Amino acid sequence: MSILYGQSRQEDYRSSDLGNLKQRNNQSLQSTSSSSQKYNEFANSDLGLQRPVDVKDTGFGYHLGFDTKLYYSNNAPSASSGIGRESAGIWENSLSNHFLLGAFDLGGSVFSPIFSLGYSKFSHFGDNDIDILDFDTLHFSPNMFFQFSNGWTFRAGLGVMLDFSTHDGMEKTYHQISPTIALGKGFSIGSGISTWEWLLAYHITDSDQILDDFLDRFETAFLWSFIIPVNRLEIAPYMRLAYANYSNQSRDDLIGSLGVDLDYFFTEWFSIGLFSNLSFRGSSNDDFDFNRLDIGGGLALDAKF
Amino acid sequence: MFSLIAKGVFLLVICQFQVNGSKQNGFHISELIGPSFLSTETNASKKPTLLKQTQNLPQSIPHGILVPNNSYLELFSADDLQMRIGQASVLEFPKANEFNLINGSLLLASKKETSMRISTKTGSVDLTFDGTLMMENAKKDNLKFILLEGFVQLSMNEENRTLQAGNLIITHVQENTFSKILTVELPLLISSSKLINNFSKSVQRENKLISAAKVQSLRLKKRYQALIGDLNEQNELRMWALKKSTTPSKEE
Repeated sequence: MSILYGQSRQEDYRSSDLGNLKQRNNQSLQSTSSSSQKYNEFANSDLGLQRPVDVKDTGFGYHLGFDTKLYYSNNAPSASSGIGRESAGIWENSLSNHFLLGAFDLGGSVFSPIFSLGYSKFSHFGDNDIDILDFDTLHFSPNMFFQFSNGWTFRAGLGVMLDFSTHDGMEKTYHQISPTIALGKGFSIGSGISTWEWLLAYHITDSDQILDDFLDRFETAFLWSFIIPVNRLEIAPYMRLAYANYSNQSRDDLIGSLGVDLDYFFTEWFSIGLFSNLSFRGSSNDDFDFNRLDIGGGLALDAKF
Repeated sequence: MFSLIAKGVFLLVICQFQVNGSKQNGFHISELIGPSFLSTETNASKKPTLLKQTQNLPQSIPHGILVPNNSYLELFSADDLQMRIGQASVLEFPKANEFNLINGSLLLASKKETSMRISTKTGSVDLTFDGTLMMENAKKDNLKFILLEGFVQLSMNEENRTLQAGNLIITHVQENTFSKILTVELPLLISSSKLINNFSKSVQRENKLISAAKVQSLRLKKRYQALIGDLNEQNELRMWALKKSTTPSKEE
């Protein structure tokens, strides 16, 4: 079993859902968190505390982020076993852009269209020829995001992801177009913010498999994250469980991802962090089973306009 | 039970009553926290009567309500106007659709467009609104208004001001002038307001309140390190500077 075979098999489980979920909910739930209660000592008036703010007319906003991570993976190709299972160091660099195209009060709910565009580069090292796994990913997704006053959220969007092999002249090796709908809820527990989301997606794919659309699949996933701030430190355990049913092969997968991020914020826009992630897949075809542990650290720069 | 100041203000209310044949639009008490008192024309010379839970206010006007320190009162009108009266408040009902806020604070929430006049001892302002707003008799009988959600138009001496959610304005009713419109942070205001949180039930348009706060959060450009206080002797808003926290949270 070749390393390349392993690489092609990891394409159909990678997901940026978790990062996006945490990003979105960090923004959307700030308004309802209880952090503002620290000013209670000023509350003399029955009206409440009146802190002056500047507000944009429409809510157009831009969020630019850069992440760099260095980590060890005990199974970089996400292979089931044997020669394909290789440990490696991975250097991941990601640039993300989120365009908030307004925030509109629908009288009891909030509508915000968001367009996200990102580029990630995965470089492998630590063993001869392991860099054959290197690839770049371009992803973009327009989303319509609704927030309701009781903490429920609904989003509908289209995710597009393209992978390129850096060793083959940036030849496109995979692409995926994913219409998605998702229902979620966020709530505060003490000073923490907990969020879950249930999503339904259909992935229309084109890959270097026997059939171009061999990896086309329906997927349903449950995502959960909990962000616990402790002064400048943020502890964020998360989980993703998904079921996938493939359209052009007789195959069903159960895919899981469990992890925890520890981020220390020096400023609003600069943080360093450690993370660990355990991912696994159980498939009706045993050849596609795998488990993988990634452990590492990194730094992040964020700017909001 | 009464502070000396409250007694004085209440006597003033009684003295201000004038004979008026019109009727108020049927308010009833929906929540009573601590003792509150009612004074009517018929008992103006007597001690004010203690209000009871679920009691209907008299249809005949004028009458007045005194809510002492540490007490709160919620009223609903027949057409679903929700009125919450804060502690140390004196509110007179001199005419139909007119309220005289002698002292204290008030929250109003209406499910439909409503017009009324709010007065102090020295002047009055007309408002038309569909939403939730709070007001306070600031120093020297100036009225502070904050719109929480919906819309409100304030009119005084043929001048109008329209507020958006989060806007704060002072109406200098004696001089018939408006202050500059400021915007205050809604999530902080909502989480710390006793007129919103000190009652057993939610404000009737709570879902709209929360969505207005979320929209403001998404549109937020800058938070100032300050809190708005009362008016000073020159009728200017006082600001309290906030010392920057040594352990800033991400949202600061």
